[in-house]
Amino acid sequence: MHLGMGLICGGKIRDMLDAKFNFIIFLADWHSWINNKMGGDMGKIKTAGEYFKHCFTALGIDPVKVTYLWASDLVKNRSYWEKVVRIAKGITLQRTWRALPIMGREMTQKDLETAWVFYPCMQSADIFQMDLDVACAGIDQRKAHMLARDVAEKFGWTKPVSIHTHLLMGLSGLGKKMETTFDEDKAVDLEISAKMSKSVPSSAIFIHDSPEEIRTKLQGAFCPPKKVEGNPVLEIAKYIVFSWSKSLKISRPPKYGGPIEFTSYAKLEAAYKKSGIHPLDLKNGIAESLIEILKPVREYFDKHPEPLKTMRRIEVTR
Amino acid sequence: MDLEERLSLVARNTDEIITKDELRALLEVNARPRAYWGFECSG
Repeated sequence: MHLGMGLICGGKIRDMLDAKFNFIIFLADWHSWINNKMGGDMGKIKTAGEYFKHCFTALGIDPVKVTYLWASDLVKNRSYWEKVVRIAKGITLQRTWRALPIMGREMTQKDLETAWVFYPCMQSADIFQMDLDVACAGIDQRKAHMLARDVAEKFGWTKPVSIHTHLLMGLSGLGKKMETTFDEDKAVDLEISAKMSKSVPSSAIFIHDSPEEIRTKLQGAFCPPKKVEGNPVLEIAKYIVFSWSKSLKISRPPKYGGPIEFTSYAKLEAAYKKSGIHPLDLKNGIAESLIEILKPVREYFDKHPEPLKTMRRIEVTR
Repeated sequence: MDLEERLSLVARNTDEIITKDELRALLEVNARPRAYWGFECSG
């Protein structure tokens, strides 16, 4: 599980639980199968799902307070499939096709499997089958939620409020601006195409990485001086450090200004823009902060090594 | 925890909320609203 999923999604789930929501973490095994994850092997998909449960527990999401549901649980019900068909009859094939980005595929992709068009219909049906008020996801899922909201309008069902979190960019930054077709909104399109992904391992930090691995990966991260836009290290500060810690401490030798502490992202950003902090010092500070934030995860997997070992044995990068 | 606290906890650090008015209305009437996050299982 990488930083984005663990600490941005995990952080927001934690916020929602604190805000007294009745929260479901949904393990979409059937959707994973349709989308050819883990080679379409349901056994491996289930193993990955179980591993995710351990990761969230390790991150402090109490398995007693949150509810875990699998797609396998929903598909047992005739009423679920009735919803899927009703939704499928309520939207055009073109609209469904344009929702391909929710599966991590571009809208222009050819050679589609027929089963892929079931996916957006199922994702919508999930929301109504679970009788939800709110649907949360990364912003790459917005088309699924817009579809669900339109369908709710059409059939008089409860329209889900949709909460979309930022997609953390890979450590190499935005990269070359290639033309991609994940979203009509260029900013969202760029966010999706540059996201941290385990299928590009060098771009990702994993929640159970060792302190040395975290330091090494951050050393190699793109971090242009004074620049905020397209800076993955500052993004980690903005979306993770200040959400999980009270402050960011950057230690520096006295001749470079000595140690400094920031209590808000706004103050950090302002200082960075004015060259008040050297990229190397920022990287070191962020590394140490992440190491601290992720300490409970390492401790958890030291105590319960099996789920992680099993996951590594079956690891495929998609 | 009052309404404003709940609202800011939910809204902080998000890219977008569709819609914030609907969220506020929901929190005004519902002490335990139902929410979810779906994940594909791929390690």
